[in-house]
Amino acid sequence: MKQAGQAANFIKESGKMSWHDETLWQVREKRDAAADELPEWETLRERASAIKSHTLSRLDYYLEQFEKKALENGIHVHWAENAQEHNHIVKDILDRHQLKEVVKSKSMLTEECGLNEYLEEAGIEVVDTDLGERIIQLKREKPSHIVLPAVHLRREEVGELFAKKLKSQKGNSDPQYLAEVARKHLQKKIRNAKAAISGVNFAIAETGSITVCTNEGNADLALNSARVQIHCLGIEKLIPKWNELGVFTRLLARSATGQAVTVYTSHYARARKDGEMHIVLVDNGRSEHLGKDDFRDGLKCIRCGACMNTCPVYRRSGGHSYHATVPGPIGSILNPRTDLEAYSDLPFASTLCGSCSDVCPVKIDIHEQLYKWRQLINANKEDRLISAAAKLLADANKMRCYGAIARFAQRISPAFIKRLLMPGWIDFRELPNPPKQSFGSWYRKNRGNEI
Amino acid sequence: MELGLFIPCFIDQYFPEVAINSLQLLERLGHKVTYERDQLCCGQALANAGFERKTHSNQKSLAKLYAGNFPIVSPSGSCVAHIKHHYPADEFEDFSSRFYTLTEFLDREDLPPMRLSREVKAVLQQGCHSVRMLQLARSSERRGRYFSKWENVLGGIEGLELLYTQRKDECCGFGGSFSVSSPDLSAEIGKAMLSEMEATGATTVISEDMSCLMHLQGLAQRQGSELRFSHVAELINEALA
Repeated sequence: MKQAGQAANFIKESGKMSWHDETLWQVREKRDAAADELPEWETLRERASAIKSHTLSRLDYYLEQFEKKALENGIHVHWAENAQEHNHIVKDILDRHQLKEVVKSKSMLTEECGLNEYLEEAGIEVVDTDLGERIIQLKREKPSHIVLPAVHLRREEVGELFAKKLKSQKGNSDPQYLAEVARKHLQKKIRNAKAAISGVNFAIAETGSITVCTNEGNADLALNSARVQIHCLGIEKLIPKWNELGVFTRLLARSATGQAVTVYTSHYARARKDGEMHIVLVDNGRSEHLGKDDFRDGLKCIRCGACMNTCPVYRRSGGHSYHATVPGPIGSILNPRTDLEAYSDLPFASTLCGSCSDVCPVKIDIHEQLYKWRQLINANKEDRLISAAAKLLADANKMRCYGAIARFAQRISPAFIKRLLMPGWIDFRELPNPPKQSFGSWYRKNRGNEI
Repeated sequence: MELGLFIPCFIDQYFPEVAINSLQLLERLGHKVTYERDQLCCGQALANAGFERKTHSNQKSLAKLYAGNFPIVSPSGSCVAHIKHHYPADEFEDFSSRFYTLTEFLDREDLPPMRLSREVKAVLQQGCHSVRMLQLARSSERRGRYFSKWENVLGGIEGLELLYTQRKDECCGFGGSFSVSSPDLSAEIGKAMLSEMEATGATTVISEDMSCLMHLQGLAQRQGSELRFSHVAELINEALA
């Protein structure tokens, strides 16, 4: 079902709309307060945007520089053209070590590639170790937000889930208690792990190292416990220099959750002495996206989620309504490139308010791209109503004539006729009062002799 | 000075008092205002629906009708934003650069003392096009020096108390065709704004954009709310009288 229909269901049936809206608005407010602390906020955004634009314009150069440095440090570097290759590469690494279990920390990229399903089908157990990711994994759902994957679930629902799957106390939905239950459950898995997969927030070309920003400690614990560490990233996650990282770490957490910085900002530059470090660089359509003048700036995204938190549509629809791995405003400008037909509804799931562009730490022109996608999606569509409207609006005489007729018809129509003709409007709103004369008419009568 | 007045198609047909007030207030300020009756819709609604390609004759016709050097004023944030940001720059840059919303234009003027004959408690609806696309005020998302052209122009009106909603510039939910393609969402976003407006204790809602007000007013009337909805043009004209 398309976004509009799913949103309507979220509003009418879930009973969660107000709560979901209020919860994410609070995250937006936290972001505001965090931005207030930095007088140089807008300068930072401009710098981050410029660094990302530059990197994208020389992506091939920086990717090769990154690989060269990483190889020098003994890291295994793999290149995956698409999701399938990525999945094969990861499984291959686990197979070579004869591993049937792996722990994972948050990675939207692995979600995008469907890694979990692929590994599980091959008989390998994957344990997501972020609290939010573990919750949705146990519930067999997809994440609804790229930073807060289980934000659509109330703590009572988590309590019920944990009672069923982790034998927690029935009826206890105290967040601290539930977190402790999850912690004990996950710690065992993490400490016994022989292999750990993580996402990557920033890959630095100059040093061949990667940076992982997290709050819970699961990634760090896992990556330091397991002998085999695998890091998966989209190729757009590169930045050129070490000293540019600070621009991004100052913006990321503030934009995402309102924290000054994530609890852990960890850098991985080489494997442990007895270990193996793998980096999987994934294209999966990113090069193609890079080739699109109007849309390449979408690749600047640092996956902070601020656009989702600020979006009046996302907050009241929930992330699942976008039926895509990455939902919300950024998803609506990235997804249509992968499948125009399947995602043709997403650029229209917006009022074009522009709030997303204003919060984006790397200044992606999201609202302008949404407008441009709309033109592309309808480029070859013919719609009789639209064509009729276009002809009417392009003719001053017709406008005067039909405008008067419409106002007259509205004055004399019974309610049910109006309902029939404009259900979308009338279901929720009264129509405006139809005036007896238009402005043009008034002007002709009152100012007509002044030409 | 010589001014052109551009009246949005739906204001011409459904809210003529907004246009009348705009014309009168500009004349009260000593300007010579030209209104071309043959002006067409700016094309925004169709363009936002993904059919910008069907509005090219509208664009050309408008540019021809208002050819010249004089500023063009319009009581609409969304139309002006569309003309400035979406009309092809290579063909229309000079033309679109001459456009101002009413408040944008008045902010550049030396305004005489303005006074209402009654006390008005009004909540200002900051429309998205006006705030984010035309920068009539610093948006709640951005940082840097706070400014508001509305406060500059309306702040001096004696008798007017200007209030804001909690969420200072969240979208009203209209979004053009969005209001009928996603009616549930559109209504919920608007209803949330209305609650905040009621909570301010204001009697009137004012805005640069009649499209936002048309949507909010429609919702308010369905709820039996007593809030009144006025374009800033009506208030300013009253205060100049």
